[in-house]
Amino acid sequence: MDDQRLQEKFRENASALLSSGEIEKALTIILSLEKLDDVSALMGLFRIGAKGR
Amino acid sequence: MDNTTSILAGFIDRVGFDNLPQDIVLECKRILMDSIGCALAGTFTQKGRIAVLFSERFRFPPEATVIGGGEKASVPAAAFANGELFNAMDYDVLCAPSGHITPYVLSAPLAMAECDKSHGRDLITAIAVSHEITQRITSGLVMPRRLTTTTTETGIPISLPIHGYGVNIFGAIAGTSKIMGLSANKIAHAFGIGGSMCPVPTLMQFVQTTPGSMTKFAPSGWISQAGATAAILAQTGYAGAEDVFDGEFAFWKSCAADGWHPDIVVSDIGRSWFFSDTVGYKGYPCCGAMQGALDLFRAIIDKFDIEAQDIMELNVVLNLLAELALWKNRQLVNHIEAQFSTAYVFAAAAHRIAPGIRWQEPENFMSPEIKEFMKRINIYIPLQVLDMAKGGLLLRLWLRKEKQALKGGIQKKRPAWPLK
Repeated sequence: MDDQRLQEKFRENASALLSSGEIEKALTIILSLEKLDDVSALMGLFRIGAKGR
Repeated sequence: MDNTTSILAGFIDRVGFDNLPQDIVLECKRILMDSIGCALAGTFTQKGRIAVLFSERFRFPPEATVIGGGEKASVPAAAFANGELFNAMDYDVLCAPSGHITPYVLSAPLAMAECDKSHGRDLITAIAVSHEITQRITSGLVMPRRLTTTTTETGIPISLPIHGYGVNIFGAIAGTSKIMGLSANKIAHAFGIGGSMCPVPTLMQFVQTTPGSMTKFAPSGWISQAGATAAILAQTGYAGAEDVFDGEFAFWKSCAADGWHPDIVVSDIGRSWFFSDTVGYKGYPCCGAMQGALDLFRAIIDKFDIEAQDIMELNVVLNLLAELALWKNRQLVNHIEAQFSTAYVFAAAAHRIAPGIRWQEPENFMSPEIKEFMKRINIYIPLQVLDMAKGGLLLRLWLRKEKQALKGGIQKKRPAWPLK
């Protein structure tokens, strides 16, 4: 599966829980993961319940 | 060869981000992306919801995110929940030949990396190590013939590429140990602890039993939780067998394998990476055996504008997995079964239900319309349809009369088979 289709799959899977802005932010972080100082900055995007579903 | 354990532990201890080829770095990021997406959607499944609820009983210390949950949980609890979520839809990464590795080996190092506020480079290294170690150990195991089954229709014996996914615990331990910076000696102890925690091989029981169980091939949550626990215990001084892969009573005997090839396991380790060439991503939330045929089927119905009501009969040829109980099942009672029923997934595709969480919703897999359509689907293995197999065909559609003028790759006449 090429990168474009894989990202599209991520968007489809995430769309019920994350806003489009959150989805693109997550993708940006993952795609440049080697530059991320602290993994918790990524994972915090996926704590949904506290924000309400 | 009696130093396999120390060679593997030494590799994990020494390897760093700068040792990773660029294609490995890229593949690790793709694995993480796909897995988190699957977990987010997986929170809408029954298996996923239960996993999140379970983790809420273990919120202290609040160390790591449960994907789709509200609060953090302890590392082992988050590892459990996310491990279950990664595989909840069976939409996750496949690593040939054994199949599911990622849901078992990713969530523990991911939870530990969040807890330790690790750098992204360290997480990438841990993902690479966790997959590489699992693939290498799996490659060394000779799978047991006693877990072979015989198909009911043809009498052909079927052996699965692996007899249980418990072995994946060593990948979870490897990745978590790497994040924690454990020494080679501590990693060896963690492997020993993991060898004792490893579940018995139940893959054949799962695939031949209906209703389908949420434990599936082996609970990916439990393996993840156990992997995290083993690494934490080793760090604190809990002693495991230091040579779990070596000696007369090595792990391969404990896990019911027929043999062990340690030379394969350690071959060129640190210089060559096995796992990245084996990785594949699913386009449909169901068994990997159906993915190619589903691609072809959807291309045909899209190209010729074929609706579900146009299809009088659909004949699908799959590999020998199609003879196993979960693949033949047409009386679906839960979303796990929806991931393996060949008739259901083609019915879902025929009705143009978008691949993803909707395939796992009871209103779809228990829909009277879908159930009725499933009666028009026949599933075969190649030996039952030699004429098709010779031509490399996977599908034949038998359409209603008004659609039979279509040309270009669709069979227009009722085939001479099934050969019963």
